[in-house]
Amino acid sequence: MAAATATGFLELNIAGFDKAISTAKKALVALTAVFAVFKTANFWKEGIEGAINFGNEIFHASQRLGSMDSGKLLIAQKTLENAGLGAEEARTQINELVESGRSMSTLFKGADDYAQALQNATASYGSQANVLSQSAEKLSKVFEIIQSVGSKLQTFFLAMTARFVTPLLAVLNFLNSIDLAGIGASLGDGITKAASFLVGMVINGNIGEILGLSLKVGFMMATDYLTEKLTEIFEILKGFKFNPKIFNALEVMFTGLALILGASIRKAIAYAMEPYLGKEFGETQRGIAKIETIAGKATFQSGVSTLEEQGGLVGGIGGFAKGVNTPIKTATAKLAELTAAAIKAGEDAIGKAAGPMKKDKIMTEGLGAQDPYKVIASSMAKVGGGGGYMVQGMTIEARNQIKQINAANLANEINAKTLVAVEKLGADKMKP
Amino acid sequence: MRFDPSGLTQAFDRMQKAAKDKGKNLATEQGNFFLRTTRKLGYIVAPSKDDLFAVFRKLGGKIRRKKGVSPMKELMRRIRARGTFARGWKIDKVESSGTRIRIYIGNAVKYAGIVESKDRVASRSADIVGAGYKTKLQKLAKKVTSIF
Repeated sequence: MAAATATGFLELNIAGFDKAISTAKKALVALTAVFAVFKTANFWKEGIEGAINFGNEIFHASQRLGSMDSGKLLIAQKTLENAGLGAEEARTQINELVESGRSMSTLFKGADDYAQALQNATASYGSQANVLSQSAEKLSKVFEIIQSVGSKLQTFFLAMTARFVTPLLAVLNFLNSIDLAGIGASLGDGITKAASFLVGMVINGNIGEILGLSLKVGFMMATDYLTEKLTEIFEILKGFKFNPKIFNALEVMFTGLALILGASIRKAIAYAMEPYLGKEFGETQRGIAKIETIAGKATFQSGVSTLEEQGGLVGGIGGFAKGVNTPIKTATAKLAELTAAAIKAGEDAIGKAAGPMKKDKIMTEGLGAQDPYKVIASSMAKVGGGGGYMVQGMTIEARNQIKQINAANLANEINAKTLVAVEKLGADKMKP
Repeated sequence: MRFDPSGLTQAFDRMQKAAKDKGKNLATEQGNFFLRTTRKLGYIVAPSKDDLFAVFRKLGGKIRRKKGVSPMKELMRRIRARGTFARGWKIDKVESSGTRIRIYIGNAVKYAGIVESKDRVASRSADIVGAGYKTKLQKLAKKVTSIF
């Protein structure tokens, strides 16, 4: 080849390109942090909501069954399920049992089966039953209040979700993606929007703002904001005829809970970001999280102590929060301990259960030595309602009275059978 | 809650690969564009058929030629060879250093050096290509960062 007599060159600088890639990477890391925060926060939100909803539902179910103790209702239902019935069938059986006033033992083949089923149900659900016995009604009240003021919380979560839905979608798709074509087909515009957002963020150079928002959501909104909103709710609750000291304590307790929650989020982010931001970052953040957890637990405990003094909701919301913060091994041991304690509590637990049961007692005492069912049946017969106490024509009031008596009897029977079951299977086995 | 970062790593790898591939494609594309533009400019600066005739007439047909070649035949050869200088441009080498890529072109045609020093074809071509490069780079960055 002949030597060139004329030469020239073109220089291309790809620094801007590299910068764009690097910025996009940082954006992804930040958005992943948001994702991790969102998932963690959602986990907590769902957990708390789930507990309150569960308490509310079982409280109303027990009310329908003649103000039966919620904890006992749970044990009875789980006992039936243990004996081989489906959940729905078990509920129907209990309903019928309370309506008819039949004995619990008629539901089971024999005493041994019943004892075993009761033993199993108590071992598995004793702790929950204990919590429900003490707090189902209060959880239901909390549920109702949250329903009425819940729009504020809903707005919080909606606003957060709406703000981050696009990048979250991108990160979510990103993390879950294996087949790009498949995702493209299923999500279409979503990805385009997400990509546009990222690119727009890179071009506009507001990565700093996004990072700031991530931090706000991660460390501020999930703790300070939530605490603020819960404080608002407590302020509203104070307007009700409850002991204000209880709500002051709850406020302290939730501040502690928020600290613990924030620490959990920080810890999750530390783990998530460690591969990208280095081991030092991970260790520092985990260290801070540990301190926050300790501070949160101390604050929480302070609230719990006040609640205990005031006879508040320790077994309810507090118990739930305690439960979710307890490591699995400790939780298992604690469960066994609580189960044993619940069973040993025996008749005392029923005595402490609910107000309506005391009313039942007064009512039946007023009947003297007579069988209350016979008295009501006789009364109904006199007014032309028929001889049976379940006949059509009975007043709602009378029917409710019977239901209440049956529910009280059922609770007593469960309690008595529990003691029999414990004796049969050996009290030593119940010790933690 | 332990977060699994493998998905993010995969995404980064994918983006890095796309950046590398598409970056290479862009460099090739720009190199070819540079060459095409230089040739085009080279063709433009070459004398037209009319210019050659005008000079031919001005000199009264006395133009330098090989022995045994008639003046008219030499004129026709010169008209046919008008694109020789433009076609002579080739890519010599591509150098890459850090974030900079240099694409060298050369022309081995006789008198190319004289024409280039007079008209600065390659230099003007580099200016034209360089002007549109930034926009193209931004578009590429957009493509790469939105690859997922």
